[in-house]
Amino acid sequence: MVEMIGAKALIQALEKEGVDIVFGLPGGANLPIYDALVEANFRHILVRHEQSAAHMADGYARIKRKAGVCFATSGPGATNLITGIATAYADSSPMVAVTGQVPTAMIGKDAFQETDIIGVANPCTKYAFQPRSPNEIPETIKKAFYIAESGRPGPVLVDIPKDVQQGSADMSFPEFIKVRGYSPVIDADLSQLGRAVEILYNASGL
Amino acid sequence: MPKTASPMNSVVEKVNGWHILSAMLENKPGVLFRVTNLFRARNFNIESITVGLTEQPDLSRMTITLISDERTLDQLVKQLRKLIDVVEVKVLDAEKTVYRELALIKMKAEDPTTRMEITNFASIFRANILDIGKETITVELTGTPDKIDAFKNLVDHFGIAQLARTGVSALQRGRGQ
Amino acid sequence: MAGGGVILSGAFSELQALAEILMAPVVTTFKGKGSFPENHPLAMGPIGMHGHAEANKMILEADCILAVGARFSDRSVGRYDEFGRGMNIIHMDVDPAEIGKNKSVDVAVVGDVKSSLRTLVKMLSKVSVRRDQNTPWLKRREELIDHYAETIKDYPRDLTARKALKKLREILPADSIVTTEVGQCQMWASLHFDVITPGTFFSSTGLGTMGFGFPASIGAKAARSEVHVVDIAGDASFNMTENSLAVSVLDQLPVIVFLMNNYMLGMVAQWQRTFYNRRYMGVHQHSCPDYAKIAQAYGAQGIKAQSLSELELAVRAALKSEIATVIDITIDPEEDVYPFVVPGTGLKDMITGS
Repeated sequence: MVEMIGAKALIQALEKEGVDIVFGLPGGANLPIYDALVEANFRHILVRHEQSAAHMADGYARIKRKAGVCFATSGPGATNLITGIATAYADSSPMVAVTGQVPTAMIGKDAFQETDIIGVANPCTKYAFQPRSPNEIPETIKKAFYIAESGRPGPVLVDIPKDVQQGSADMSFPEFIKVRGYSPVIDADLSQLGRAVEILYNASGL
Repeated sequence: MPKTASPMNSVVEKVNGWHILSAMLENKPGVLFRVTNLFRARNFNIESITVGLTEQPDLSRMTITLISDERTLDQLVKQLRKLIDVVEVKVLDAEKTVYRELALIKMKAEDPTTRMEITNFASIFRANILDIGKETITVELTGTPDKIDAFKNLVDHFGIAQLARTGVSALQRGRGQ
Repeated sequence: MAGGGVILSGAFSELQALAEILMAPVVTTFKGKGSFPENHPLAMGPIGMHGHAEANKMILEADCILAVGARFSDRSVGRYDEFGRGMNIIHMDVDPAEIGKNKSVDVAVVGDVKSSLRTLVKMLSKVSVRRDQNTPWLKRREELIDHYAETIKDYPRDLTARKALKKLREILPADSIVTTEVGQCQMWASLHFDVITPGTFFSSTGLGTMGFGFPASIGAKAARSEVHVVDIAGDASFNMTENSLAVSVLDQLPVIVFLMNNYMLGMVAQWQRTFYNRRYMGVHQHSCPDYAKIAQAYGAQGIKAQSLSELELAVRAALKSEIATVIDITIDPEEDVYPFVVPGTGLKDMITGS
């Protein structure tokens, strides 16, 4: 357990996931994340429009076969990601999109650059997280990558309110996590495979 | 003009039945939204939906009733299971399940004969009279949806001022979860 | 029928082993393009709305379809009541919700397809199902390929979409990564650009997002910088996300934009030609902007190609370059994509344009 601010925990959690590049664009609501990025071990690519950040993360994921990561600020930054996220969802591409959000006390009050991005992203993501306290960040990131990359891959959104990025806490980075409602099947049922073999064996030529 | 898409598998017979599903969900904000949004987005037509706390504080139980064919039911169950906050989904066998709904029914009841008939019906149906006024009587009735429908049909001609139904809650009989 | 799931799972060698043990022709969905080498003797290319005619014909003649990591999308299968009729269908997929969603099947194998294919090949080799080169299916495959090579319409010009893409494949190293934008360019790529190394091709097939290809190609370059990366683009698509040229140049992620430029919203124009009596509305780009100049404005290389020989020079120059190159290729605005399966019709009703 080490004490650090949420933004730093985010960067470390990403490093632990083996992230070597992120694509993003900073704004008011993710400034703390961008400050922590200065010391990050991975590369940051500055985009000219957040939609491209999501598409770049998608293209990266399709070749690397692990989650591509993109960053955006709250409000219009986050909504600009949506086309890219929906593209990844429709094509089952693994992606973790991290957006800034207005401080928790301002949520739901139509603050500057606020949108209900969780609501907007829900139908086009495998899952959308919104950690409400800094110590939730390490586990949230680990779960996000697990969900994005396993089973039928897909995009996961992590929406971090600004005060959660700035707040300090004792962080522990879990080795293993379990997501109760999620158990992707890896090994097929052998009897079904047996039936397939039967059919294929008997399938004729012209 | 291009033709619109043709129906899928039109050869398959679609026989509708009444089904009850029980789902266990994470008890967190936003889960109900995800579930109902799924129904809307995939065009599943639900008859009733109830959700509430369970014996475990971090899980909610959701009971859904719907009328559909086997294939639609199968898809609905699979799509629900796919949601990460849905921990388990079961299609309940109506014969092996206890299921109940609560209805509050306010009827017009100005003349004495009507009031007496209503009181009689309430007693036969084991409904509780919650409110009596000069113009209306409100009863509370618990039972299967069929029982509630039956009561409603009986009192229809008195004039139902308002009706509120909760939708069905259900548990499997015996030790089944 | 190999779908995108094979690529997601990285099951290339397993798929090839299975195809070879069964000596079965392999078609792919459009998303599955690149799951199987398209120069393999069993390969037939993609099926579907703009699939290879011979692939569309072949899948209707089968007596058994093994669908691996595919979801039976309407773009691939045409009419659901016609597709797979009278045949056994085996569906292998990681997502149980896809089983029976669009198409009822005879056997469902739920699980990661790489692992399932590996087990299946093991089980098949135990029952010694190995067939030889003389199976009648291979002859039929040749027949169909030859037949459609004659009947599918191409244009007599020097520079057509088909010729341009064939030329690109000739020059581009086999391990290059290729992506596409959306529209005619995407469908021409489906038809005329063969993928040789599995796992080197992708496209926005589910959502069909214009403007996806260029930034995605930059992301792909970041993932594998030692190979060439090409975006087969249309002008209208490229216009949507061209500002990523800044990223490509400034962050040293050079890619090649193979811009098939007809200064039209090409696919929409084709539909308006075919279904709306050429009543064009909202499709003309009016030669605006000059894409070579746009590239240069961002510090990238911009080359115009108005003939096949200019195209060849441009591609060779792009391959040697250390910065991003936009090759602005002149394509006739009246050029259509064939063959074409009209939505709501079946694969057998495909229009060949002849």
